[in-house]
Amino acid sequence: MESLLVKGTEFTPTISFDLESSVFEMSGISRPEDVMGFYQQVIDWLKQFDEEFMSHASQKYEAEKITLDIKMTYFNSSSAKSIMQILERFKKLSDKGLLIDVNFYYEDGDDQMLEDGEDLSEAIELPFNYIAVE
Amino acid sequence: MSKEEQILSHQGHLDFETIGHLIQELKTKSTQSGYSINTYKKLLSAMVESVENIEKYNDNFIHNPYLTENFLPSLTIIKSEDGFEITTGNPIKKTDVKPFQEKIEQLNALSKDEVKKLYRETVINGQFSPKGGAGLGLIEIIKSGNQLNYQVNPIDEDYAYFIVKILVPTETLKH
Repeated sequence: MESLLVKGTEFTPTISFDLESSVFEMSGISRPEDVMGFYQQVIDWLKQFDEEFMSHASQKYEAEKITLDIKMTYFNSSSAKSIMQILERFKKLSDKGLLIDVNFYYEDGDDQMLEDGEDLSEAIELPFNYIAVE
Repeated sequence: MSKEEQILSHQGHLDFETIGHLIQELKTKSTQSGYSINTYKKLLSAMVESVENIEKYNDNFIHNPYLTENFLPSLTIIKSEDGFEITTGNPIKKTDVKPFQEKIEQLNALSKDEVKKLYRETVINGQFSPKGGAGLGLIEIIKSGNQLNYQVNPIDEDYAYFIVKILVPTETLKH
């Protein structure tokens, strides 16, 4: 299967899930006009990833670990629900043996974003590394 | 003598594009006024959640000429000694008033930990509405440490003008 690349816009984030580097990144702003419609492509790609690499003994994902970089500058509450659905997919992959390192980036001083990250981490029961950027 | 400054004001329909303009206006004003990233993001979050809530109820009144001429949605943001006051108003069906009131009163009665727990439960178990809402907007507003109040002004036998007042307190804007 191919890597996933969705270019960001004024309202939607960049999604770059690179199978070669094993770096899966979500960045930018999330306020889609159709939030379910936008994120369905990401969920479908993760379902396909699960089917191709985690569910069959014949084909394994080469990397032992993936890095999930969440670099959102803003996401509305509807997007939080969709991001949670995506994190649930990653949690399933983790439960199946794939190591996942989650880095949650936030602008230094942005308490709102840091708290949002902590809430997502607690909800999904996946530890995040919190990285402040200038 | 209290000093108040109007940061932003809008009266009119609140659709996706208009909300985009309001976000841009808030960003410009925040930059010009030298607000910290903490202040800007807290204002942005509270404003977007409240106006997106109104946007989801547009269908209830948008085809009613009397309401659209006389009771348009409104948004103001005012800086005061207590913090920032974000006030929105929009016409809603009277049958929607009680569920809104109950939700706000329920949230106001929760402790900080209880609000966080409710947020976690809703973000995991909540379902998207047909309008794309996740039921998290009001919870997000309270979770951020804001105060939430409301006022109901009857319009006619079917509709009321529902005013929501959010206070982003000064003590949450420490830097």
